Amino acid sequence: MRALPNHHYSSPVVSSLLTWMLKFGYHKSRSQIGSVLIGFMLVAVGLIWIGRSNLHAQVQFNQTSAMDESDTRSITKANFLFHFSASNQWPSSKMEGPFRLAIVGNPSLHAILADKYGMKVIGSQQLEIIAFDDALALERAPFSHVIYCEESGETLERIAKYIEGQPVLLISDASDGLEHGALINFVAVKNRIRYEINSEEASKRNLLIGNRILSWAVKLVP
Amino acid sequence: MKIDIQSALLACVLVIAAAGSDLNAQTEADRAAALGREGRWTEARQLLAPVIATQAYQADGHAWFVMGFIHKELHKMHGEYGADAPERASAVMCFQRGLQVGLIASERQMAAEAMDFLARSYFREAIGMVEGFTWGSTDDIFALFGQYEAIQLSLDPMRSFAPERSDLNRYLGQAHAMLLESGSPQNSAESKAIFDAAIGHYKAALEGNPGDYSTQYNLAITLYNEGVRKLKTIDHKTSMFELMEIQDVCVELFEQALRPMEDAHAQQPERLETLKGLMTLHYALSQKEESGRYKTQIERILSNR
Repeated sequence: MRALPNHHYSSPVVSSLLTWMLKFGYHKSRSQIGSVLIGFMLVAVGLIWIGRSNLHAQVQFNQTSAMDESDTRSITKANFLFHFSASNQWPSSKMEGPFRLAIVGNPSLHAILADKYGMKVIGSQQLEIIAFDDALALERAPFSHVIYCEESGETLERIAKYIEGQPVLLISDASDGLEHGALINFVAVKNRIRYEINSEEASKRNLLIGNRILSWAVKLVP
Repeated sequence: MKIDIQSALLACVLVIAAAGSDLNAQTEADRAAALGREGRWTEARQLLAPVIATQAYQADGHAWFVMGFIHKELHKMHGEYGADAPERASAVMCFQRGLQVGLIASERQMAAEAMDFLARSYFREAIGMVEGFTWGSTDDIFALFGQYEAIQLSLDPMRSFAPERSDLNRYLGQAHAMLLESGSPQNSAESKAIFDAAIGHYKAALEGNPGDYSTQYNLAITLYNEGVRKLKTIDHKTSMFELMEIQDVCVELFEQALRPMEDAHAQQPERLETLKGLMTLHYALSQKEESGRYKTQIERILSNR
């Protein structure tokens, strides 16, 4: 089992080509022979490469499997964000125009959202998913209904201060996210992604958190 | 004593002619062997097959040996395949009969070599089927491997096939995993059956060879990738309840993957692919600190290179 059948792709091909080449070249001029030689060498190299590719496929079979590189947490978080956008209610003044979902500092999450949810609608509003490198860039952008901030600490606090009093659902993924102004914060519970909600702060901002979202929260503040 | 040179020469010629002219040999076995030497294997079988089972040949090891070679060559000529290829099976049976009845030393050695060749032909065929694996061919592969084992055991009853069987299971595990990756399963039931088969083969491989790095790593990867595949089914139609359910299933798979990945890592602590595997698994399990610890190790190894 360990010794798989041997493969001899290159040698016989090359030797027969060379033999044929010599026979052919015997009747030709030196320059023609040179061209023919180069042509056949290119063909031979191609055939050797094909042979090695096949061999490589055999060897690959003996090696280890490839790990799926997808960002698992972002796939889950993207769906949560879609539900947070679709299952809560914003003041009527914010229910016109596009529904903006801003992602600060997580390109992978933005890519998944754009791919899977980019063309969807929230109520009657077209969902727009926008990526920002940092909080500063966000401040220069138009109003966003939902902001997800990957970073905690000062960045999160800065965003929270910037949107103070506005009906913006700020979401974080930090151990102290709610303390720094987020309304919803992702937490890990038994190796799963869950979330906690500061419902009091949400109501202060005229955001009505849906029952479905409330019912799945692991912690409600207060 | 006066020697007549002409008579002596004639005698020598007759002896040589008798020895050289195989077609004039006395027994059907010898005549069949002579036909075989001329490449007339079908005629050789027609000559010997009707008589080989008769009482006269029951104890004639040489005849069974010749019949074995005829079947073996016919097997090669016909390009037979499959565990029940008739010429190959008959060849093995005839050689085994010859060895039972008794052969001269040279024939005994040749019979053993021929059986080894036939055994390996089953083996090569099994490997070929794994390499070009199609769903549902596992029974045929194991039937071929079983023939290989049976023949080799008849030659060497003390031989152990645990390592080879373990390798075969590992290859089959990987073949099933590759089938899953290709996205060829028609529906979720087929996909689950292929996944279960992959895991079953990897576990069987580990029973035979518990310390095999590749099997441990591949088992972990297959479990992890299955979890990721399920996660990827999440879209805008997925309800919160379904999302929680999918998470439960995935986390269970990721947790199962952790153990074999740790076992593989324990064997080769500096190997980047297992460190990356552990980093990714802990990340998928929302264990950020552990994931970060492996990330730091990877960075340390890379910076030392």
